[in-house]
Amino acid sequence: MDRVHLMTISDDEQKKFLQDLQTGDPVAFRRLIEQYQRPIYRLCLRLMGSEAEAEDMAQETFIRASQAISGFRGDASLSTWLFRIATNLCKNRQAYLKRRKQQSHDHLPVLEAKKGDIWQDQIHNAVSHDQPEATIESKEAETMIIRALNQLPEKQKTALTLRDIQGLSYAEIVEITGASLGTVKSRIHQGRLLLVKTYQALLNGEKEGQ
Amino acid sequence: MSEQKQVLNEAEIIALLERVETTARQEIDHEESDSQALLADLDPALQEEINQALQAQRLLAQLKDVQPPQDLPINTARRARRRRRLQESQNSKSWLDLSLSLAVLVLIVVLLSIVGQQVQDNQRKQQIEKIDPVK
Repeated sequence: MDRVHLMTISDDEQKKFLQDLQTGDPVAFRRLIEQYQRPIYRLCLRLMGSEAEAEDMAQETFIRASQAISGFRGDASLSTWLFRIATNLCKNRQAYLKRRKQQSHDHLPVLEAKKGDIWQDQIHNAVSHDQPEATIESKEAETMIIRALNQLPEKQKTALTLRDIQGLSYAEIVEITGASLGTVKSRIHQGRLLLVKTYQALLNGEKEGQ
Repeated sequence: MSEQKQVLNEAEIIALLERVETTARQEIDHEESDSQALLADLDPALQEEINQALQAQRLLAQLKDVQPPQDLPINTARRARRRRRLQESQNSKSWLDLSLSLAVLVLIVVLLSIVGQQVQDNQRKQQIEKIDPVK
């Protein structure tokens, strides 16, 4: 499984790092981004389903973190705290996009195209780069998984992403989402079942289309 | 055992799934195959559910790692600076607005008091004229 590997530093170093961040030290801010950009970007990409949106949300996560770092008491780890900010930002952004989509049905195709759907991007890359068939097939399989993941209800998708893609513990997911342990486990389990069902439906639809 | 397991609730299914996951990890280390034995006594529907959950994990494990754009740190720092400048200009603008509002308020008060004084002077003059019309 693709687990999150975060830099492990001593408590003293962590304290100093936090102090530097709290005083607005640009070097510390840069270090924070460099250290956590990979897991945060990956989380945003899986939750938003679009590279442009993911980059936007990742940037916003670090900016919000730098603004709110003075209020960080260290109850949770810095990574959990950042994941919580990113998850909330993505949730709000998705709600905003959903509202906008509902308000302007006429403009839906344009908005969808602008979003740079990762599925379309990947299909385009797979075809345009003249890669071997096996690579294209694995890319198509991956694309299908992402499509299935994107069709899950938001809460199940978040829990499943944090657990099975980010590799976080149940306790960390509880901390990030604010849901109870039982709810988190249930969302993950139901999400897994729905993912397989959706994946198989997409696969069957693809076969029928051919 | 199989009779009881047929009525597992969701929490029990999740607990069992975790056991299967742990056993599956151990299988990789010890080259044993016990995970299926854990499911053997279960109702086929439950076995199917657990197999689907495991399949979902395998599917998600296939997703490749993604690299963030190389310019993410630079763009973030740039965006943060832009945000700070905007905030500062908004703050200074709000100070300017406040100062202007105060100045206008003071001006209005001064004007009102001048007008009030003029009115009083006029009234006083009119009273004097009434008392002493010859003058």
